[in-house]
Amino acid sequence: MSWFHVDARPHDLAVLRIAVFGIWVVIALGTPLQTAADLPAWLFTPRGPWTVIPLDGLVGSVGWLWALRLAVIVGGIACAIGGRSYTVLAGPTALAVLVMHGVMTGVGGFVNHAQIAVLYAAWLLALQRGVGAAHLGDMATEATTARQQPSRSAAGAPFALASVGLVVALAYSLLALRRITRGGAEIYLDGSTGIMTIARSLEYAQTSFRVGSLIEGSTLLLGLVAVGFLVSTIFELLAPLALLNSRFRVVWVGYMVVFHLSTIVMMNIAFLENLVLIVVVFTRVLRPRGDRSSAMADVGSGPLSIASSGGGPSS
Amino acid sequence: MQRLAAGLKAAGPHLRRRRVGWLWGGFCALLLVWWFLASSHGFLIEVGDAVIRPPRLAVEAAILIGALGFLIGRPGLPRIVAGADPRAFTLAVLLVVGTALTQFGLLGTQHYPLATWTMYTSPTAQITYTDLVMVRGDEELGQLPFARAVPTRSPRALLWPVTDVAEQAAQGDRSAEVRLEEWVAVVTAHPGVLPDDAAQRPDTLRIDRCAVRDPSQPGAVACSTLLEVPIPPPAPGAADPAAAADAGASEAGAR
Repeated sequence: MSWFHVDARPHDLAVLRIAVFGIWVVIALGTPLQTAADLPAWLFTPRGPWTVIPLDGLVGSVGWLWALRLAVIVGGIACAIGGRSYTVLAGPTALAVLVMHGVMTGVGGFVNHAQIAVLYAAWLLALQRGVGAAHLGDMATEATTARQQPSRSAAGAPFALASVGLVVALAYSLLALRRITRGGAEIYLDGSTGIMTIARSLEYAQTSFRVGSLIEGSTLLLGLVAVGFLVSTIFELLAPLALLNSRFRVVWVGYMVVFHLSTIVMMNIAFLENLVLIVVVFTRVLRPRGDRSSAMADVGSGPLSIASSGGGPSS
Repeated sequence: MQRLAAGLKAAGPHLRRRRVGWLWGGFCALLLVWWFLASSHGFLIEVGDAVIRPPRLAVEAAILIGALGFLIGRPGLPRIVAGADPRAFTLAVLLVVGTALTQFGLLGTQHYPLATWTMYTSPTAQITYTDLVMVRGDEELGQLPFARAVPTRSPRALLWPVTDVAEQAAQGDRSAEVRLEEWVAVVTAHPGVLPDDAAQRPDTLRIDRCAVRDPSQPGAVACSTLLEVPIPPPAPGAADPAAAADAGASEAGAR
């Protein structure tokens, strides 16, 4: 078992850059940030660093909020495109994303971990060399350019992909650890999972599926939900293993995709940001067709086309 | 970074010793299973009146340290680190170490470092949630789609402070009632939250508290009305919804 991202290519880095900054552009487009200025002050409870750095002046001004939103949209698009402007724009855009996230989490005063991994990813990409220069279709590796100086994109791609992958994996793993040591077996046995599912399916959210409420009164369906919740917790706990083991990664990615889709339908809880990051960071389905085949040998011809974790020199 | 990569390369074989890995992995698995069973009322491991179980800090620390050691020792990491920008590497280390330390800092709570939700980490006999129901006359028109008017990806979070204020208002706190009406005015004035057609427009917002209990029995969900708040009519002379929103906001005296 060696690190999956050891042979990451500039192409993979370009896909990650487009995904991360693209996600923030979509979030900025879909979030009416400027409406924070209209909301009563008692609804705003800053979190994290914003308890020390006041956001009041910004949150009270429609003009500044519009400016912030536009900065994330324009900066995010430019960063997703990459090129020379990336070096100049990535830092300010990551800063704008951080402030926008501060405003969003201040409304209601809760941090949602759906956006945390992609927030950290934006910062990791902003600080890593060669990210802007990476472009789609560039499959250069350090090995193929060994006689020359390897490009910064080729040298930096493995770290960028691996660090974002580690952040995503830890987000799942730490949560599962806390659930196991805090809730123990009881939450799977006493009907808690059924209560949680029904409540979330009926409560107002950005989607309005009511499928979760159908389990009420059915011992079979309540049992299935509890078992599914337990299996999900185990997969979440083992997330870091997906960075190393190719066969487990195939199973893990498949399960997590199904899990996240099922939480949308059953509980109106959408982790679309994580879904995108899982596909981009833990699979190579977005590589050009010809470049997936050699990596497939390690795992067989699975439908996800997940590449081998090997390829790097044994250290 | 090259020097660090060389150090990792040298340390790798020591961290990859099979016997150490199996012993540590087995120890962690044992701790985890023990905790998993002992923390449940149904599976208490008791000696006399005492529940015997390892400290939670030891369980989480053993697993985290083991996992990080395992990841650091795997082949490929030196090459990955060699290509890292020192700034990005520092941030990555801060994130990983910071979240691990925060996990320990939150040990006595239901929380974990990357969210302020409780994340279904405790047995739950009942969940209570708030429903904002639009009403016209006696007719229910569905939940108030207030997410269109607030800059958050977690509209559920916004319901908590609203519920606090509604509960104070229901107990006769006049200032809480004013605050609640202020919020309703701002949100309902926002374009797209209420129907443009006056004939379809709700006149009241009903705030319900709903409790979900034993799901194995029918009727697990029971709701009761906490408060009813009048929805203000559209601002006079406001021909377009955007102007109505502006009028509603200034009327409410927000910020």
